[in-house]
Amino acid sequence: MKNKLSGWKDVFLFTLAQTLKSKAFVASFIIMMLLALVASPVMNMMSAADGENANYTITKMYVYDETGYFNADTVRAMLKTGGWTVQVDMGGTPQEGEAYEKLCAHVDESETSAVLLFVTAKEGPVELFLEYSRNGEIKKTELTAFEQVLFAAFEECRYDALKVDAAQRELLSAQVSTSVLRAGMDGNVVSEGDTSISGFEYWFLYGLLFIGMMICMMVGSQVATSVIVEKSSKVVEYLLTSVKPLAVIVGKVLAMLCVVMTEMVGLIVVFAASNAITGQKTGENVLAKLISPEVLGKLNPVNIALGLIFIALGMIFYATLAGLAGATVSRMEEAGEGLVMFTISVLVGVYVGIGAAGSLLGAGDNPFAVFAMLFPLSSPFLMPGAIVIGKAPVWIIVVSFVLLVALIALLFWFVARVYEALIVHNGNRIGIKQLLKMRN
Amino acid sequence: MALIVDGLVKKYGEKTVVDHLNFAMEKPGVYALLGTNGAGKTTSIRIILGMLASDEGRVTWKGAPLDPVNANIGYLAEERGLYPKYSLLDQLLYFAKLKKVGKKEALERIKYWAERLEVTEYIFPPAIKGKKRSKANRADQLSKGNQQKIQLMAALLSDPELLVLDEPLSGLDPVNTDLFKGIIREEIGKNKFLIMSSHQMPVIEEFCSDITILNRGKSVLTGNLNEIKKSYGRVNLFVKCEGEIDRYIEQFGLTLANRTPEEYHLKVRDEAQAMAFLGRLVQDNVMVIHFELREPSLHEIFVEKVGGAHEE
Repeated sequence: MKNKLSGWKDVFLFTLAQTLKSKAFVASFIIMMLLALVASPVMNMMSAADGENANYTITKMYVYDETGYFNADTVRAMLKTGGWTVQVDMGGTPQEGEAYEKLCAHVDESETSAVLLFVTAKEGPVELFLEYSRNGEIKKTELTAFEQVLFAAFEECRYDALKVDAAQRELLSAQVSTSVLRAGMDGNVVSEGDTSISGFEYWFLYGLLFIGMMICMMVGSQVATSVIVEKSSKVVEYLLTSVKPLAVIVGKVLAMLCVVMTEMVGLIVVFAASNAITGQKTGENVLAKLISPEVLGKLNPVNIALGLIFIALGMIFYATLAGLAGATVSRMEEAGEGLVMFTISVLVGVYVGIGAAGSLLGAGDNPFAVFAMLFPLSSPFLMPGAIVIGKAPVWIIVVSFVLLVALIALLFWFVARVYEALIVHNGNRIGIKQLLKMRN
Repeated sequence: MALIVDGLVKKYGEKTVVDHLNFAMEKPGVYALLGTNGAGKTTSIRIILGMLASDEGRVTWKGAPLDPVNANIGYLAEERGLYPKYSLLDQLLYFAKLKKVGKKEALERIKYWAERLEVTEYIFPPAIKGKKRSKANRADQLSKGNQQKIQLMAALLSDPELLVLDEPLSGLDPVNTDLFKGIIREEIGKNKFLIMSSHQMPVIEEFCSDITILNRGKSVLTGNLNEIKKSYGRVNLFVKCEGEIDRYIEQFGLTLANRTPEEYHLKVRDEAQAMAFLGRLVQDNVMVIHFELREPSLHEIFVEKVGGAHEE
């Protein structure tokens, strides 16, 4: 094995140096770093602008209240907190008959920055209807945000109307969760109820899964392209008089791993620095605004390191698979055809991961999610997020790691056996059946 | 024995592309592998170099199985390979590093060979004031001949003990052919072991002491070139005379192999028959301008050995 890997460092250093020197890498790296650098201040500015409601246009609200709960002072105060300085006009009461139609016509024809709130409970539940002028300047996005604040404000009005004190209010608004406990034969609890993840955790898993897929696709296609270039330009024939094929593929894969890790670490460092500087200037932590406190609280160096290890292993696995796929073709024009096997493997892994994330959201811990965390095609995509949100216990992390490393070792063994025949092959693309025959 | 190729067999499915190839190189010199297109020369070379595994047989170098990772081997492939977009200097340094040549030593050797092969301006392009370095230092900017020179440099950078040249002169103009021939002669002079594959028979005759002719993967002739030729005997007679000599040819029962406006190419039974034929011409006062009795050329031997089979 030592002889088969002899020279991988030279391949690694050359591939790394040439990739880092390439115009494509330099350009993409600069763009990514610039984006990371400006991301924090830009997001901060956007949220600051949101807070100041620089673009908010609603300045007046007519109220037609049939319930009697509405309290103009409370609503005005809460809208002020949300960024709207609104004049509240209790323009009509239920006793005034045609007042509502008149108000509607008035808002529609004469107002450009006013809305009409109709509060009713005739049908049973309390309903809030918000109307605005068709010819006005109010946008639907503003109305959506306005509606949310208004809803919360009306809740306050109801509490006020019922004279609910602070302690009662806390009790009423406390989150209620349910748990189903099951007793084993010995009387001990063997499983507990609600283990589902929140919507935010789902999107966090989904986001990391998507990033993992992008990285693996990017690295895989770069390794495959590099292999095809060496094959089609016949450079590989010269290389193989000095190093074994396994050393070539290992050197390439690790070089690409380093390139991507450099990009990722660079992005994290630059964004963290940008966030820190922005925080110092404005006193606000943009990162805390972006990531939910429930996830942010679980982020720690161990989780991040474990997540990066799974991403790195995934990259090694998929890049090696892509290198193998690249070696099955002889010309650059056949690259897409050759990479079908690689693409299918990535997609299987991604879809299993997405399915598992969905099942965690809907049903909590379940056998399919465990399978997806252990399955080597999906574990590189799912595990980083699962570790952070606390859905991967230690035993799953260990078994998943061992399975992934074992599969990588098996792939390397296979590559070592078939790569030399593949690399000097010229002609039609080699199919999976032929590939499997070659291992003998 | 320095290099022993013992019973190599390579099959692709049912097809045997190399069938029990045997040859050996006892002392430095040039060994030629000849054959028609698809005869198995390049596959044999790839097996010898360890790029391909053989199904049977083995290759030993200085008494041990040949390991290209540890042995100092230079290789000029038939299909030349360079990274199209990378700087020539970078890739030559890389190739040297793979051969375990230090950077300083490699740079000196690159400079030497660049001057020798007249490609210095491509590997070390002069800086143009106020402009970026020329892109001519990339392989895709070079002519085929110059790419071949760079590839030869890569093969020679490690000062290899065993040099394998697969069609080294194909596609070169006469000036560069002479340049390459000079370098090959130098390497022979340095007591190197060379394996050469070529379709150009005069080149093989010029350099090679021993040959193997392959036909459809099988060795149809192997041995020392001079001895092979001797075994055929001096049966080729080239005669140029003033006037017709057809009746003499008929009288002596000679075979007319070819006739040009200049001379006759005849096949004789043996030297005695040729001398008798010459005596008769002189006796009859036929003006003999050119009379040459020689062994068959490698070209003729090659055609004889593989021509018929190749046409099947």
